[in-house]
This record gives sequence, structure tokens and C-alpha cells, in this order.
Amino acid sequence: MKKMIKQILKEIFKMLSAALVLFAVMEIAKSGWVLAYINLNWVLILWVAVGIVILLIKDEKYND
Amino acid sequence: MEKSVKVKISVWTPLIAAVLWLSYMAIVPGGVIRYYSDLHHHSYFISQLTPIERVEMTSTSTVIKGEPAYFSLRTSRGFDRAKVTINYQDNSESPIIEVGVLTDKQVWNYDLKPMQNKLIGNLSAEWGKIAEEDVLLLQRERKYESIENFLKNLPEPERIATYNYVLKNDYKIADYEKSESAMTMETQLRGPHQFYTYIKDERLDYVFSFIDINKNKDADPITINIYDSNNNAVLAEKIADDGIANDGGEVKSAREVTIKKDALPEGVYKVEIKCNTDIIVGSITSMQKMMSFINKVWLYDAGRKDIGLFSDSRVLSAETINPSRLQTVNVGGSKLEIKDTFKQFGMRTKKQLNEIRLEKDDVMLSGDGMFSFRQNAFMNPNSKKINENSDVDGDGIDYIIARYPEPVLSGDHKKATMEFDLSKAYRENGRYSFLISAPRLGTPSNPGEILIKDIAVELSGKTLLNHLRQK
Repeated sequence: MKKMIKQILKEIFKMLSAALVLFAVMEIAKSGWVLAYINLNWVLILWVAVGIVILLIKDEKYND
Repeated sequence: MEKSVKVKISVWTPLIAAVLWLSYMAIVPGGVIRYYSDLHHHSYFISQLTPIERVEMTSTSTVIKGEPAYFSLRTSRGFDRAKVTINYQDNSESPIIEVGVLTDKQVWNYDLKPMQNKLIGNLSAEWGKIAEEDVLLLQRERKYESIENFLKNLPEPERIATYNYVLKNDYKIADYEKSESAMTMETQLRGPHQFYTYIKDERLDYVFSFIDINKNKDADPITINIYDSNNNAVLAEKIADDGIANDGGEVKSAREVTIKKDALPEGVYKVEIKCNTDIIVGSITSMQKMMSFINKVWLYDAGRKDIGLFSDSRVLSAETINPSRLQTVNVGGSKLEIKDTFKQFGMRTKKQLNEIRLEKDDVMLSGDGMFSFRQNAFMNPNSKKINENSDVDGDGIDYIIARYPEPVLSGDHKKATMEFDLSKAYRENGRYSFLISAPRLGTPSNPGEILIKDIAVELSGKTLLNHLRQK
């Protein structure tokens, strides 16, 4: 179960990393494209939080 | 399907959806979008009202205590039209409240639309009105049964006043005869000016002399535009900066610009000198007899004394920025004292046409009429306009035609909707600039305040399909 959650969180982390890069590129390309609707600070906070949770979840093989 | 694939799909789909939605909102493929702001919560699109000296925030509204107040509208792309709806409460004495969009940054020109006009509102109740869509016809005594009938059989021009309505009038001077020799206006003017001239069986012939005093940092280009009586452009001449784009105050010799055009039909023409305040109009030499400056003249500091002008402005204001030019201006026998710098001093005039005599130059004169340096060069082809100074009884106005969608009462607030042509509006860094004007709000003669609850803007423009077809 833990493995499954960690796998999902890792996928979310990858998606948020991609989102941050993509949103930054979009915003540089056209000012207001993203920031008009999404506060990137919250995306960044979520990205850090997910990263921390991933680090806190210990792999099952070490628990055994 | 494998579990890991399902996870990937569920996690990445929201990002793809977000990118597509953001792109949709940025491109606005349908050409129509609506933005809203309660002016309390941050809105990326509609800014809060400024400046803070004239605007105060309360828990429920934004309060305008002085005029003008400004806000900007940020859009992802250009649009053709904007429908601005303002929800407000008027606790002021302002007879007229207007909203405008900036159309020209060089001369700070705003396209103003009525938000509320108490004069028209009160007269509608008193005189009665005929309304056809957003056009109103007010008659002191009911003579016309429809607006169409009124437009087909117009009464004497001096009995009509307009508000936010262009009344087509084919203004002609009955006994006009062209001048046989050129006349030169030697009084130097500072900054942008507009004037009317008249042509009949003659060539449009003007020679302007410009001096660039280079007191501001920017380049100082000049554009001369000439429009006919239907506001169609007849001629445009662009003059580049003198090559000194700094504020060193270096002055080169005067540059002459000649404008000539043959075969223009008889009628009134508007000449617009578009420039910044570094440009001095040194002289204007013309074969045309008539030259009436529209709404303002700024007499440049050339050390001239005892200057005479004529104006039909009902309310006249004078201002100077030069402490050595404080003076008493004689306006048709009455005195208008300029007591301080950077302050406008105004008075209501008594006669139809007043002679204005200034002791010294470097004064900005403004009013709701025309200004001319010679009495025989004076003309006013415009119909009378309803403004905050209007006195319909004193001015002998019996008919008012106005394009005025009256504000709608909604609870304790009023809702006013104004439509703007954004294709002519000035847009910088994706922003359109708006102004809310209520003449003299915040002065002892007009205390009170205007409470703005919220602003909504509905924009419409080209669809993506139209845009692609045009390319």
C-alpha cells in the first residue's frame, strides 16, 4: 500500500515539476497567460510538500 | 490496463487540461469574454481605483472623493468593443459622471461616455422625453412626435443642445469670402492644440513654424491632422523630432511646415496639432480667414504683454505654472484673478462672445467653447453641448438630443452600462486605461462622494476563425 502511495506521489511530483517548468515558460512567452488565473506560489508549495512527503515515506524493503 | 498507466493518466490529465484551459482563456477563440472585480479582492484584469489621494476603500465599496479616478483593464489580447458596467451609489452633487477610455497618450485624450447625467435625468422628468433605443429627445414644449421627425425638421441650431450625440449639421457661413492675403498669428502657443477653419473656393494653405524647447526627456514628434466636418481624415503630416531627445533645453532654429491642399469642398475643417508640451507653435500663417481654437489655448512664455482673445465659453478657466505671470484677466468686463500657480481659476461668463484681455502670456485658458485671436476669425460650428455648466433656460435651449442609456436602479445601487470602441483605444503592456470623471467632485462647490461597488467588463472582438481567415 505504502509503495502504491509513494508511486502515486512520485508521479504527482513529476507532474508538478513539469507544471512549474511549463507554466514558467508559458508566462515568459506571454505575460499573464498563467498568472492571471494560477498563483505559482501555491504550485511551488504543493511541489515542495509532495517532495517532503515522498522523502518521509520509507521504502517497504527497509521496514521488513 | 496496468495500474501504473492508470496512475499516470489520472495524474497528468489535470495538467493537460489546465494548459488547454489557460490557452483558451488567453486566446479567447470565441471573441467574447467577461471580467469582473469587486475592487476589494485582487483582480488580474481590472485594477483597483487610483490615485489613493482621491480614492478610499471601505468594507463594502471603493469611495471616490475627488476627480478624476482611474482604473486599468488588462486583457490577454486586443478587443474591438467593451461594455463596462459599474454598480455604484452617488452621494455627490455632481451633475455629470462620465467614464472614458484613453485613446491618445500623447495628448491624454479620453473617449468619454455618460455614466450618469442628472441634468438630463431631471429635464426628462420635467419636459418629458421620447426615447428610441438609447437616444433621447427632450422638448420644452412637445412639437415632434418622433426622433426621426425631429432630425428631418431641425429647429434653429441655437435652440438645440446635444449630449454624447453627433448631430449632423452642414455648417455654412452665408456671406463668407475668401481672403486675398495671408494672415499670420504671431502669438506663440505651447503644446497640442486643435482649431477649426473654413474653406470656400480656395486652397487649404497653412504654414506652421515649430520650435522644440527640449525640456522633457522624450523625443518630440509632431503630427498635423486635418479632418472634414464629418471627422474624416483629409490630410496627415508627420514631423520627426529635431534630433535632440533629451531635457537639456537646447533649442534649434524654428522649423517650418507647409500644408497645402486643393479642391476641398466648402465647409468646416478641423486642424489638429498633436505634440507634447516641448513643442511651441511659433507662428501660423494662413490664407484662411477663420481660425477658432477648440476648448483651450496655452499662450507660451514669450514675454508678450496685453494679449487679446475672443471666446464664447460659458465657463472660462485660467491657469499658469509661472509665478511671474500671476495676473488679473479681463473677461468681457469682469475680472478673473489668477492668484496662485498650478491652480485653475474659473468664472461664468455673461455675454455670448467675450473679449479676454491678458496682461501677460504663459497662461492656459480653457473653456467649453472656442477661442480666437481675432473677432472676425471667430466661429463655432458645433451645436451647444450639455455639460456641467449648462443653463438651459439662460442659454435658450428648447431641445436636447442625447445618446444616454439611463442608469438602472438596483436596490440601493445604480447600474450604468457604457459601450466603448476599443479599436481606437490606446493599449500599452496589454492594458487599456479608464477614467471616472465627475467635474469638481471633492471641491467646496461639489462635496460628497461616489461609491463604486463593482465593475464588470464584457469584451468582444475577432474570433480565432476570423483572425485566421484575415491572415
